Amino acid sequence: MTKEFLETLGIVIRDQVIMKNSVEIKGLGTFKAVHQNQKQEKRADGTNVMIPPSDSVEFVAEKKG
Amino acid sequence: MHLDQQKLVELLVEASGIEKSKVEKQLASLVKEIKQAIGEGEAYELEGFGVFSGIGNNVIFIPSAELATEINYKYVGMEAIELTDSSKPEENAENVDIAPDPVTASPDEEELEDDPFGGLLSADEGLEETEETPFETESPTGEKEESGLLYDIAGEEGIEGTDDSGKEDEIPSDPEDTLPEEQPGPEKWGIDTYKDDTAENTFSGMLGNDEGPEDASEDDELSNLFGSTDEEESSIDESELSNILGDTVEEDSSVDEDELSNLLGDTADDDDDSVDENELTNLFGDSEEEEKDAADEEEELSIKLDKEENIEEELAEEGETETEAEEDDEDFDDPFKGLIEDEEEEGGDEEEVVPVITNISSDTTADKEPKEKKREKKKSRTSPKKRQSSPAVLWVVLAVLILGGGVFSLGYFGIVDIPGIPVQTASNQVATASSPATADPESSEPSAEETEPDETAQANAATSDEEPEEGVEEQSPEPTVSGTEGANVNPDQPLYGLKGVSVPEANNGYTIVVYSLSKENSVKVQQEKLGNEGFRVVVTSQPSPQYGQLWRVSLGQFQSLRDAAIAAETLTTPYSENYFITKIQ
Repeated sequence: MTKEFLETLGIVIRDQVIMKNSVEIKGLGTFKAVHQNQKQEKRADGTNVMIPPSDSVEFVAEKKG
Repeated sequence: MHLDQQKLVELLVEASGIEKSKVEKQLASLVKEIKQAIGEGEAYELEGFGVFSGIGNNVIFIPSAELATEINYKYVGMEAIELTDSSKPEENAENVDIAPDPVTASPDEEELEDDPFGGLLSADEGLEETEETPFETESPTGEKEESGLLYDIAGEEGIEGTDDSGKEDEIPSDPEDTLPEEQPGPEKWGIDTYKDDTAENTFSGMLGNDEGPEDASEDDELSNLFGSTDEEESSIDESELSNILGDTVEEDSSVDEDELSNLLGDTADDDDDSVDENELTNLFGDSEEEEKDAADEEEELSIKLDKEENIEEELAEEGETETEAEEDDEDFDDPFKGLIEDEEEEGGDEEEVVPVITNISSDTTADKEPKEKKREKKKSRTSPKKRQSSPAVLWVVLAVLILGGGVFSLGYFGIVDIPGIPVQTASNQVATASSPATADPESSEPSAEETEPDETAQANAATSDEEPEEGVEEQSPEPTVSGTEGANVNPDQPLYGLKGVSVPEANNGYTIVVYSLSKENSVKVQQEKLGNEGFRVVVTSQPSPQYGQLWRVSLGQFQSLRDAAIAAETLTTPYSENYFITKIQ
């Protein structure tokens, strides 16, 4: 594996995830984007906080067998 | 949309330029290594991407901070907000999401797919430029800076206004109105009764610095004089001196002030200054050395005053100050007459009488009138009003000129957008150039005809349907603006678009920057290459503090940022990987 390949792989997966596409690597799993909506939470101390929305990457491992 | 292994390989081949077989081989090798590492209970890290690790039979992936930030680029920096009762939203607000960016929003497509800035994050350079784009396009930076400058200028004006008010304060009230009555002389002018502690303290520092051995020079004499006054703790003297020396505004309030200002090295070069200084030196010496024989001093003073009288009479005979000076003298005659008359009446008995004046008044009566004349004449000659106010005015004028010049130059060089100041076109000149293939009229015409349908179709696709009719009207062939670019413009070519030939009329819009180069040769190569591919190539040169002259090679001319973003989605690699949209400057 060359460094160029690894860098390119990271960039491609990142771009596709940003574009909300899921990327599957055979034998390993699938990367996909997950969006968490803005939500309101109540803390243990009784205060309410508004959690901002966020986008994150999620990896789902390929099922064995 | 789901990308399987095959599509991923295609993308990798397209992005890296490596052969497909090698890509597949390396990808398989990577998967194998990751599995092997996880099987051994170890984690496998891809630098800048994340860490694969295993928990039990599960493989988990922890994205790196860079990747997580880049994926969450829309919401980076947003933190949880503690809600108060007033700001508490409704219960159903839990699923409320932030409204999509109006620039990136598309009514027809999903938010995910129509994000025109998705490609911006493909490289670090793109990230940097992305942060610049909103400022270039959305925020009126120039206005802000302009307002700041206006604020500064207003501040300067305020300072000037303060000075003006100070100047107004400088002008003494007409002494004729109040002189004969009520508080004549020093009481009226506040010489003896008013004590400015601030001025005294300020001046005390000067006195402290000047304390030292006696020298023959005038400054040392003065310092000794003032030092002796301090040692004697004569509050009256201090107040008078602080008034005289601290209140530079009230220049005409006292004859002694003139004398002191002359002693302090002001610009007056009168012949009588040395005499006055000696006089004051002797006078202060009297206050310092109380045991000294006053009769001797009076004799000396009378001799000196006689000399001054002679000099002044000669000057008066020469008619140096017969016109305006005498008129000025009339204005200031009365207060000082009153002052001296007061002193004459009161003598040296009262507390408020300054020792200096007391000594003068203790002179022979024959010397009083000539001395008054001498002071009046000298005051008229020295014209201290101009002498004191001119440096301050000069400094203010100089500061205003420097600031004005700086502001103008900033606006002139385009750093600050100031209405009315034309931006220098040499540095930011837009070099909209057609491709070399189209630069030659003979060779460009066939190619333009061949690509005409494609150009029109793509340009129409790139530009929105809301394109104003003005733009369509301007599609008619325009005369060449610069170079040969205008000569090859297809009459059917829309004003804005991604393909075709750049037109100067469309330089008021946006463009997609794909290269930022520091060498002009490289610019020409890229320009030729992009031109051959049918793009509208816009080359802009900008001075860069880091790279000197920086050339930006851009694709297309678009009326709005949205049009540019939509067109950028149609770009292929390598242009789609790293670009940013900016306003054509």
